[in-house]
Amino acid sequence: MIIRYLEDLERALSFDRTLARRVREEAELHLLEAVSADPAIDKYEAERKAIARFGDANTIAAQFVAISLARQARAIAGTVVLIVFGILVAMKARVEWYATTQWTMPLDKKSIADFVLAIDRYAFWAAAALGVAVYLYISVRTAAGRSPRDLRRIYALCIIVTVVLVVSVVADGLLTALQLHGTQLSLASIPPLLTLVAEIAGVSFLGCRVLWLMQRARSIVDRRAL
Amino acid sequence: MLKGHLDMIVLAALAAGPAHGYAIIEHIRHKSGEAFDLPEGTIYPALHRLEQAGLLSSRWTVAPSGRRRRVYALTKRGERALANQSELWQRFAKAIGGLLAGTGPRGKPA
Repeated sequence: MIIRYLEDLERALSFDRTLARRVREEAELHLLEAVSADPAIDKYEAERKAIARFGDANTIAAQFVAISLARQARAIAGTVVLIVFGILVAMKARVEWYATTQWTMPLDKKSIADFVLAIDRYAFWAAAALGVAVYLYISVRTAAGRSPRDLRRIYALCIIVTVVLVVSVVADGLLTALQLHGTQLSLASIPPLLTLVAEIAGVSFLGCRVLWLMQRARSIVDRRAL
Repeated sequence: MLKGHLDMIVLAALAAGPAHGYAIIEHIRHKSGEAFDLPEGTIYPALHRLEQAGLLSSRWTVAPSGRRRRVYALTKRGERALANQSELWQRFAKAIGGLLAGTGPRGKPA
């Protein structure tokens, strides 16, 4: 009887598999403890009473919806900060490589490169500041991400960070193209290209993750009518 | 009414020391003179919510019976939150007590 109840509970929590596993395990231990503390000789009756006292699986699962959504919002805020930091490392590595190999920007492309570099810097630091702000907001505010309105605000900010980061990465791509244009591809060209690929992969991952979590959050809220 | 104060009740139950879900429920039931007989499963969303807010920490332990248990404990932040909520509650109870003082059942007018 307990197994059947636990399966129902896990199914009701299927919107968050990690949470479902943990809650199932805790519920199982709770119910076993309740059964063993019950003086009733009839084990079936003790199990029935323990389950009745524990409460309806769907009602309990519904109380976990806001917790799960907030957890996902926290996770995406952490990802945003990590990706921003990763892009910063990639950019710094590329600049260091150019300095080490004394690879300077051709003079005829200097003015356009300076313009693109300015866009790159503003876009990157704007994304970094916004990303850190989202992360701090979620870390400091205990109820962050618990209401649909708050969730929308967090995801909207994450989308803005992603879009601004895309601008920065596109600018990086242009700068790398300007730097490599007219030179023969050699081993020395590989590190700048690799760092650029890493940036593109990072920002693409972030975009997909934000959109996927947003869609997931929407479907959970719709299903559960939070 | 209980629902609105569940977080404070759970924090108060854990002020005595770390405990697992079942023990917390038993503690609440016992200390409240069985007045708070809430569905036991509702303690877990509260525990997870408080842990997410950084007011509780949790870890798996093994009981003397060999059974695994997830034990919850108050964090420093949780202790501070409990102290704040406790103070607020004392003020609220005192205010309501003052309002209700002398408002017992009145006798029938002559």
